[in-house]
Amino acid sequence: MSGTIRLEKLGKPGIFVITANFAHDARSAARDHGMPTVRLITVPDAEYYENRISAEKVRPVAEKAMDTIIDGLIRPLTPEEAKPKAMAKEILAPVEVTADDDALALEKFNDLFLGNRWGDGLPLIPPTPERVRRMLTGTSRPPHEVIGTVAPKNGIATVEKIAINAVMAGAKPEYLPVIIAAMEGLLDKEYDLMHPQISTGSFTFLIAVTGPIAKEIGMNSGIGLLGHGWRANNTIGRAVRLCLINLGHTWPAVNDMALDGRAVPHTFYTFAENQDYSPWKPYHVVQGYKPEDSCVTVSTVGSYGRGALTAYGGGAVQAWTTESILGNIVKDIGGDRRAFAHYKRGVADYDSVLRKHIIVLHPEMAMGLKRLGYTRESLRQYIYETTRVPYEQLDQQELRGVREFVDASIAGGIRLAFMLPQDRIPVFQEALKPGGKVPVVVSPEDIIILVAGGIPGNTLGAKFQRALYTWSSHKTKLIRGATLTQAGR
Amino acid sequence: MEMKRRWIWSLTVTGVFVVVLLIGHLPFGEGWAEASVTLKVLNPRGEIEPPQTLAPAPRVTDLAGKKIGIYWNGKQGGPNFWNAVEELLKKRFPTATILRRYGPADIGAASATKLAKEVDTFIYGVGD
Repeated sequence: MSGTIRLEKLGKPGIFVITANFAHDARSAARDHGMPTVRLITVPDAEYYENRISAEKVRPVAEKAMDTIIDGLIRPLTPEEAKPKAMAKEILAPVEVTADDDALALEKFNDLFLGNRWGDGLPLIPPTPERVRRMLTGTSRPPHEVIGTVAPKNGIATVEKIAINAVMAGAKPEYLPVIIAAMEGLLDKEYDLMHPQISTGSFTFLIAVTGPIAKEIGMNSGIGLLGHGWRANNTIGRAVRLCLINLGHTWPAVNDMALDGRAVPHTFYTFAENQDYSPWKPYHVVQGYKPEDSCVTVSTVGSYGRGALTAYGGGAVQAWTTESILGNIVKDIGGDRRAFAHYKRGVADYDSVLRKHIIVLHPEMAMGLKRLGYTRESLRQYIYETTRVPYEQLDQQELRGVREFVDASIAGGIRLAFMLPQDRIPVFQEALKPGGKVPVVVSPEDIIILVAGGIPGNTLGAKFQRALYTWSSHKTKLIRGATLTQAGR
Repeated sequence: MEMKRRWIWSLTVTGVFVVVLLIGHLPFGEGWAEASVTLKVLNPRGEIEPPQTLAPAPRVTDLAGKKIGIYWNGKQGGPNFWNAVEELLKKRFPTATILRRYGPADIGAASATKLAKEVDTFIYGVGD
């Protein structure tokens, strides 16, 4: 919708064509962009999606839509369209719920909030002024400090608003600095939050806490690290989930169009790095922070299908070696080579995307790698180098795809997911020569290595495209302002 | 006699007081008893500054002889639909020129400025 409105603002009249199921979403986006009466033309979703596979099948859909398309282009604007009403600001006053007793008041509160779509479908803790005040004791940061704005509607995230949602999630005040840092990561200007907030793709988030605060607040980083039963893990993730709903003003099938929903929708993949068993300094050190710091890393990751969480090996049933699991990692990441042949400028094919990879090593695996002489940095460099494809091994289709990828990146004007960042273009150009090797991961920084899980444990892999609307889908932020823990102050 | 009257009066007043007190606590069901708990909660929604409202551009009156842009974000199968739209437009408006452009869902400022210079009107699709 933003593109349509850009053109309208430049004085060009047009229409936005969309399937009927997305009309509500499009109208909502039109309001967000200040042009509520932009012309929408819908085609029946049941007829479009299946028939677009061939020109023959989809032609009747186009024929049926033609009169409406032409009408939308030439019919003069109605007075209502030409002079849309100014949009009112939503009043966000405190809410009062009255009932005969405490139990009924709690029921009524939940009915109201969940009915208003101010929750995640599970019962909530009422954010009374007293509870929010208590939550705010967890941070020295002022309640009205603005952390950023939340896509898609750019709701303002203040420390107080985050605290309100943290109360609702059932979090403790000592978790608040972690939740604020996670939101800082997601709201960073470079982080592409818009895409995972609205897309039909059902991606989700990974939230990893590194450094001493994780242990201090009782986060699980051992057996069951992604599961239920750990208040810190579960409510930190849930608080972020509620912030994304309430501060971004999103709702499933209204403007969050994830077709299958987002995996682990209530808590996301929230866990801590297992520093007790890790042979290396915390992950955030490779991001330039000090070992004694505490940080949160947020990352958009796939939910289902090829992008789903992968187990590379480990566990208590099958025998494994460090080398065998490393081999599985290299094989899986190396499989992204498929993108070369699939790449075609102007075609949004997710098989043609080079992805970032988050590898969560279980402790025994990390110790084994250390014994083999790897550091976190040398391991990611090893995976980056090993998965590069020698120029001489590329077939004609792959060569065409990589060349087109490089050319499209130079020309620009396409989705960032299908482009190389400018600083990586020379690397690919150099690789396209005899003796060169084409990377399947854009940069070694796109291989992110964490250590978590128990003994025994599994080595896991999560992946996702680097970005779409902005250049990053991965950020690490320092936890600061904590008042109730020794770490994160 | 006076003592007895006072005694009866005090007993009546006490009795009425006790009855009133009891009525207040009897379970007469919803609507009878006064609500006794008010829960005040803070609003969890993020404040939004409403954008300035703008109107769409005035329409062209006819497509004959016009340059019509079709912008598409590249999702698979879409070109089959837009090829048909292009063909049908040309059939109805043989003097119109159709320009096909591909790019991200949001065309972006630079490409929008370029396209706006090239067309009189446009059709914009993003596949869902």
